[in-house]
Amino acid sequence: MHLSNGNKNVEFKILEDDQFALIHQASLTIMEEVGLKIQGERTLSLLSDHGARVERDGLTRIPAELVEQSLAKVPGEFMLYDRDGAPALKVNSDSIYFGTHADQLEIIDPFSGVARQFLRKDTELMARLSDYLPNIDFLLAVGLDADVPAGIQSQVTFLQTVKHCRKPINFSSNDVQGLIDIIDIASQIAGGRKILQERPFVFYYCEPIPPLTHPESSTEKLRISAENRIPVVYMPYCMMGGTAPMSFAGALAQCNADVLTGLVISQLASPGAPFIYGAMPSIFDMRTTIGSYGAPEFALLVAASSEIAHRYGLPFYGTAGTTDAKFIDEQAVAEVTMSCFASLLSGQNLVHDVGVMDHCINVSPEMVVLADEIIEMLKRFMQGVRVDEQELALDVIREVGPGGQFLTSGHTANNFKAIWYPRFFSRNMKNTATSEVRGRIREKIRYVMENHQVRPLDAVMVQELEQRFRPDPES
Amino acid sequence: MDLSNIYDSVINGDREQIVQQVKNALSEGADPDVIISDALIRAMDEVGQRMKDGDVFVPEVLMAANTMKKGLEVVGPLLKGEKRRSAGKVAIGTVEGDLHDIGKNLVVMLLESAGFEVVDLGVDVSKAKFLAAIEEAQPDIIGLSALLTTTMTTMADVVKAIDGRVKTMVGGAPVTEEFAAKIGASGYAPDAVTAVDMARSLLV
Repeated sequence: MHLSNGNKNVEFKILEDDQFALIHQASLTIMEEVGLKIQGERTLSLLSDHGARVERDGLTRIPAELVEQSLAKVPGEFMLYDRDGAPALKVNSDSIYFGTHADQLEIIDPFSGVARQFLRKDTELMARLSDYLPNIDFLLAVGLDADVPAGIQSQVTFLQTVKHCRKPINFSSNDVQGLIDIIDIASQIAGGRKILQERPFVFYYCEPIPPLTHPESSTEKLRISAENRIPVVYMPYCMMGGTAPMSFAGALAQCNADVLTGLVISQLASPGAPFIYGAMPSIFDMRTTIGSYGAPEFALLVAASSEIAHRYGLPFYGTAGTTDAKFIDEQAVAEVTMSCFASLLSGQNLVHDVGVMDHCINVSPEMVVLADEIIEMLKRFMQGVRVDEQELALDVIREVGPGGQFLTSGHTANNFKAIWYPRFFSRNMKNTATSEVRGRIREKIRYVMENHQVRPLDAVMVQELEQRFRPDPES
Repeated sequence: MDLSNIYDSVINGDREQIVQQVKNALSEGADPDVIISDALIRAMDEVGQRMKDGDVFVPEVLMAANTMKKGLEVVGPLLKGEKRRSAGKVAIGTVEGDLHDIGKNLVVMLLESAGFEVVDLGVDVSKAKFLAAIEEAQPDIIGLSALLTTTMTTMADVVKAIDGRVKTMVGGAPVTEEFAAKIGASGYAPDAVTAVDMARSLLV
């Protein structure tokens, strides 16, 4: 079990306490005075029954007391298990876990290098790779296969993912039915709904529509997750100058208001339900109109959001290992490294989207492998420096003396393995004429596909589930 | 007559000055049609070109368009005969089941900046509502926007139901040129800027 899968022994801070206080206050003002546009009769009833002011069109004003009560009820920690029921991820505001995608709109084929539509069969590669890689701790199953009908996309991807990966699955769904179906599927795999609730190997993802809009599908998803005690991420994705104000603090305050609204809804639906704080404030590129996944401001604001979540004692769902570049090039590596570093420095707890490129259009298995190396390298940076008698090694320095050598010292023999040795990066004395990194990455993917499998699930159960969620012959 | 101050105000998005500048030009005998074509429209065309070149940013384009609109409000009522000819009429909405609209809103604003008349149908627009818009608004183009992959399938239904009566354009994050071709849409654009060019090319 990875209790945290990393250390954070390097200090880093974006927001001072007084800055956080101002942002928090601004969020409360937004919730109390500006209000949120909320839909979903059950949610609106819950809110108005507990002191929120709900108007006819769903415009809802949430008082600070409700927020405070929710923060008091929500757990600061919970456990995620693997598919086979063993403890896997201890999720709190100190955890360090990274996740990639089981599916996307497109995939960069790892052997041809070509970008193409993501198909049902591609999930097996992503799932087995994720199960294998040491720095990937969970996997997102969304429901984007181009060759699967919309009504069953999420269910099919979930099935494909759980067949080939034991690690916890962060699933989302096209609709509320998808959520209900997947809870059902996961319950069967776990051996019963109660077992799934006690030892969840899944957690859910849903989102509002910034600015300040929480449609019925979102609030129902929150409510159902909470009632079923499935941990849920609620994450607003907003673009400054488009769906958020054109200023960092304003975007943070608005995002915070949107997340806290989700928190209130989840805690009213089921007090004590596990909730994960997510936020993704980015920029609207005013030349090309993309929502950027590689901008420095994006990395900065996600990191700042992490600090806000931690002030509330909540685990933070972050984003890193992403880029606006479509293929692995200089830009891609720069952006991926920047965001991975930012996520570690700001102590983000469940970091998703590793290997996602082309501003969230594709996933590249090669980039996932490369990012695994980069994350490992950066985690080593984050271990910081320990200073004590043993580390200062004065006795060794005395023994070796001026002009001596440490190569043959016992102290060296005992400690040299603590240094990181790359799997893919080169440290040749005499380097080759061309880079070997890509070749090693592809080699690794080939190795995983040929050699790494997970224990198959019960064949009868799988067949029955695949039958249940198969395309109609007519479609 | 020298209308360069009006032209410059549009280029620079100077909403404060434009009204008085247009009034002054009119009182000095400038022809309303000339003000519109030589100063206002020519300035917006220049802004559009600079945007494509990456020299001008979306908010600046919108400010310029806003400025031009203010100028038009002064001079428009004075046009003899028919109203200023628009570049075309577009009815656009986010498809049923989808509430995302920032991209669609940007397309609306840029189309208007480029001289199109735009009917914004809003979000969660059903097939029936799109079809009704054809009857009521008589647009040249119906535009369909979606962010969610699930809602893309409704685009196919709507395009089929329209059956070529008017042109159709589709767009949104998961939408591709291949998808647009597959469902028989008249046009596709990957972003709001190229959407304007696509709309123009559909009406040539």
